[in-house]
Amino acid sequence: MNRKEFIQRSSAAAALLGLGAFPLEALAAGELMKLTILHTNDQHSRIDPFPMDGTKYQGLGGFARRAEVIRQIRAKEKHVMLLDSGDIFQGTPYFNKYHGEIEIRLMNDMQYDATTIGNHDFDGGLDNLALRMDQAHFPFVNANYGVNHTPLKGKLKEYKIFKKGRVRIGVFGVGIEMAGLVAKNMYGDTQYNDPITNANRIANILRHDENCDLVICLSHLGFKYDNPKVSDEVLAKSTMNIDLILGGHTHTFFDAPLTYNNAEGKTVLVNQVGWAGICLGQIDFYFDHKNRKQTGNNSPIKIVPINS
Amino acid sequence: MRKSGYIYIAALLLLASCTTRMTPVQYSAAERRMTDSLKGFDPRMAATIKPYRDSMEAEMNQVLVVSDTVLTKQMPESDLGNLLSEILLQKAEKYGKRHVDVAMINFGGIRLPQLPKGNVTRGQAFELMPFDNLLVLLELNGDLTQQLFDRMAGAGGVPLAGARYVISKDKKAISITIQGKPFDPSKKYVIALSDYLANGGEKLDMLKPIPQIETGVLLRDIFIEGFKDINARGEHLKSIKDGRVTAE
Repeated sequence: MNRKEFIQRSSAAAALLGLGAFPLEALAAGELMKLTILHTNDQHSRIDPFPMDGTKYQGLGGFARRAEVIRQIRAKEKHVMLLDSGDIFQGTPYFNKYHGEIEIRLMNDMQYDATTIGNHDFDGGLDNLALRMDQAHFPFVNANYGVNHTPLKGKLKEYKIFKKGRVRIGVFGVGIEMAGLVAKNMYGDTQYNDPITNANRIANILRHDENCDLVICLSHLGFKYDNPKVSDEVLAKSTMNIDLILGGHTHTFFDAPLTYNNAEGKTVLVNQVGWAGICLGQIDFYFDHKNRKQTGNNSPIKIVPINS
Repeated sequence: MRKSGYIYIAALLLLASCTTRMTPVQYSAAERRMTDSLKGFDPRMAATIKPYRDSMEAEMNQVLVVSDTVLTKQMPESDLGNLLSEILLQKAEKYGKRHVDVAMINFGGIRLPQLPKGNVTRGQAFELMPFDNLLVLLELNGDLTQQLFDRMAGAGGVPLAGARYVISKDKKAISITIQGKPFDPSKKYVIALSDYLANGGEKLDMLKPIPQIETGVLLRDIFIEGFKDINARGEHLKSIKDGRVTAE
């Protein structure tokens, strides 16, 4: 199999970009396909914008506002995915009073495609999480939590494959160690397994068995730590077959996605958009639609800011 | 028919196995801030939210106390951290029905980075402490007390009342005083904290075997009661840093 590598471009596309052409013409010509990935992390039940009370994030965020921005993007773009990296729950009285019902309902309305489990998504207990998973019109994906002896059995998926146009996208998730972070009675018999081993296992399946063009990991490990604790940075460097890691947990605001070399020297993108729905992340991928053959051109993917 | 069907499937499989994946040739990215300047919101979603909000706000908009300043959570010591841990220490004596030496809160357990100036509502108390953590007391020997202080120092300084210490260069707690007296390793100390910490949260595994003196009172309810007490005395929330935790 002649697998094309992520963040490489075919000679035709290279020539196109080399001429300085933004891919709009190529899009129009049907040579490139644009896939828009929208993403959030650590929404923390912030249903309404932060109140205007003089604090740091006053006036920012809000589900109804985000829904409108997403609606406008969907009206403009043909291929859109909406993803979340966990910690949907906990942080405003909405969660204390409604236990996640409203968050899931509004995420259904916004047509989220997938999320993963953050440590705070255990905060209402496993039965509550199982109930919310049932209510969600989108899957919760995680590849390193063993849930066979919990109410999440049969509900939590390791991954899901999406098809947008001719592009196959594999989405899986990894979660943080619960011990010491989540009260034991909340995560019950959920088993924490090594995220790296399981990320490699699933990414390999998605790339080689499921033949995905793009492999996305929804991670709630956290961006990076000043100790050896596993993080998105560690995950990016020590795995293969992942193209994009959408992170969370550390509430880190990235100015732009970071690029790392993975375990086989290929580029992987990492992004995280703070918390509380203050930002909506957007990454547009342009796929070489016409020239599907590997050409051996190793020049890196071009990064262009979106004028929003 | 049947035979050609098989051939057709075989041809498809052959095609599939030869197909190379598509490759992204370019990406572009934006972080879209959800700000006031966008002005737009989805009216349908706003309508969905409204009954939830109305019901919640009826309960949560109750003003507990007024704050004279913005109070901020910081390491190694902060006005907000001092305020909450002082309330915890005082209420721990009430609900524990005994003398309590030290009250501590894990830094991540206070979920609002700032408490605003002006009215402090029940809703903000929930945002400060959304978890249903219960107050427990632990009686620790000198060795475990030192270990706990070292962990507080190692974390960079967490909200604390009833004690003072210095974070040494190697991130240990030194020059500890408890209830105004130098730390005595031969003494036992009563510590007020959340059941989350007492059960080994934040990797405080050494606390797990210690018998817990339970109070059955939520930390959040303690803060709410503390705020109401201050209001009932006709006072406003105020708090200062007093150098109880410093770094060497």
